[in-house]
Amino acid sequence: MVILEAFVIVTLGMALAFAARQLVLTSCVALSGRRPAPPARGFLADAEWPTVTVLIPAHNEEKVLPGCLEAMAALDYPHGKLSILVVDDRSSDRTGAIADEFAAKDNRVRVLHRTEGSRPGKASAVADGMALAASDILVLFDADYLPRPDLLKKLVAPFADDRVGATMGRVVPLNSDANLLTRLLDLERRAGYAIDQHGRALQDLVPQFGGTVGGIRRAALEKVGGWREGHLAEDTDLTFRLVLGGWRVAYINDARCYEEVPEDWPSRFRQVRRWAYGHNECLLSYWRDLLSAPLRPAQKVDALLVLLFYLFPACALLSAMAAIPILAYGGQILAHQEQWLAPLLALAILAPYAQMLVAARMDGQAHVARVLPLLFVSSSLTLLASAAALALLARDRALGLTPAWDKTRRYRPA
Amino acid sequence: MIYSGILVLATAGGYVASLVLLARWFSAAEATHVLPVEASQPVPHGGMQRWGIIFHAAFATGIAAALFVLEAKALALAVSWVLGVDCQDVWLPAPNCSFDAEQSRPGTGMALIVLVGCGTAGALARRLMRASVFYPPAVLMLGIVAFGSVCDTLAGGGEGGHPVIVLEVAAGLQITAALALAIGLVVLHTRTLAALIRGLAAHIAGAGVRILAALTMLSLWPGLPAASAVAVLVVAMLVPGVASALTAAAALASAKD
Repeated sequence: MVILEAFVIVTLGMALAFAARQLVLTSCVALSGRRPAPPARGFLADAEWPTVTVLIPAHNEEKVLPGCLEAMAALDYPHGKLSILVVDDRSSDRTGAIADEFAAKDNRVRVLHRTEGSRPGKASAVADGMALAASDILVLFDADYLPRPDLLKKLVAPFADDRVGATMGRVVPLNSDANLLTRLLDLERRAGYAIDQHGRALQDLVPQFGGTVGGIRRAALEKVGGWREGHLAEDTDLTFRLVLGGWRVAYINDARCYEEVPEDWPSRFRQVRRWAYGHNECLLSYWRDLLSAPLRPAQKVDALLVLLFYLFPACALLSAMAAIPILAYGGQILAHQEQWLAPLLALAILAPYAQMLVAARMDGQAHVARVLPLLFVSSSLTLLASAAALALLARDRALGLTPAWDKTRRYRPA
Repeated sequence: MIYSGILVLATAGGYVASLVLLARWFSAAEATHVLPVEASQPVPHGGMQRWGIIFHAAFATGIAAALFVLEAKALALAVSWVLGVDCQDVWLPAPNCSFDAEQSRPGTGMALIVLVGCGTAGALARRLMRASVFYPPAVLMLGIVAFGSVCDTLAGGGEGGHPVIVLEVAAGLQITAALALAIGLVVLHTRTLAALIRGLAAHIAGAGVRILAALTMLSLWPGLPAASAVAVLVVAMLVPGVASALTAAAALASAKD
């Protein structure tokens, strides 16, 4: 019983730490208004802009690829400095043919067809694409993304600062009004980008490179060991390798791009399970290096909380279950006894909601927060998926297994 | 016995009905992927002036504190009148109520009934609502209650689980709701009387739901083994209670931007 109580208290401590971070970032963004993060020097003449390869890994994306490539073709970027590389990753539908049709019409577009024997997964597809791309900057997009014409310059401009190794833009759900789940995910995205990422950029903490709607400096990538295959959260892995290698990740809040969010709960469950698995792998790989890295204490705390992001829900679920027999059979948990802790716990519960409320308000669309009280629906998915990911990781580590990539379903009509 | 059964049915029925109504209202929220800059609207001023924040915070705190105290008293009175329990210190959260001296709780038999009930409900949920977005939370909640009943089965039941924990959870939810109201008033810059009244009315409605939840739990409590009761408290009172705490914020947010 003592061990269970200790576990519950440690989880409560983590909850308070996450809540404190959320409240600090929310307050920071709310008080700053819509002021962007301090801008990079920026490129002036067209000749100064670096060469860019837009890399689009695509596995059975016939529904969404045409729209994506049309949007890419409309990107505003200096002539002769942009190329687009579609990596057809062993598709069994018309993805390869669609990409070839676009390549025939636009000489900026190239296609790499990966064969059946190639290593599976997005990370491997991206790695093969990067080996072919010779540009200064690599910009990744998922095949369902629809960038605005001005997006590319916004993502590339921060690279004028030689310390920047990667950039990240804001992802906006295109199908947010499809159903209750998409409305909830829309709220989560708003908070995650417009408050969390933006707040970390304003405070010079550790914004994350998200693996899409983001740019990577080729020189930085090569110095930190290249794109790592076989990892389910290759974006988080790269973020930490860059940060530990002394590079910065720049987040640009007004560099917006549209994506699809899952419209059914099984797809969302698999998506979160994949993210949680990869995040926990990164936690095991980098927590020691992080503690000894030459970063400010605030940056270390922020980065550590990022690594714990998907371990915490699993711990919260387990500690909620552990608390049941403790409270039932007369045990004492700190929160049960101490009245002063109740307001703190209330703040811990409310912190994510406050973040979403502020995000919706700052977007000028507070009415979307009407669905806020139903957040437990998507939170339940996160709890279950995080717990499942933890169990899978433990199993795979024990048995020496390799995780399989789980592709997210697309919803746009072909 | 019959009165207890009627009491449980009445409070539980009212509670479930109110939750369903609230859930339907919350889920009618609109969403859009078009952000103001893209729609060529003026960018709204998102930053807050310092004195404006202080005034709003003071005003919001005062209103939230007043409603918090009123809700605490209302709960104590409801417990006294409906359940016939004598409560002192009714102006405090978690009032000092004299429940019957701890008596033997239902044992292994009831725990097994709860476990079978969870299994049956889970099978029904799988058949009727597997595609629904509410299926995962339903499974999670049934799983937690089933876990509680397993604990009771292994422990042999018969002891533990004082009902005062229901009032402590209720007090925690009152604090959460008051804070949520204050945060909603500050963040959403409530400026018109109509919007304020809308928010306060929603908060009072949420308070009514939380009081119903406490009455339901206290009615059910004697009939459940200890860990099963705590598990039901978590899924049936704590989780919906947090949702009800956000009713005011949702109402304030849905007022015209």
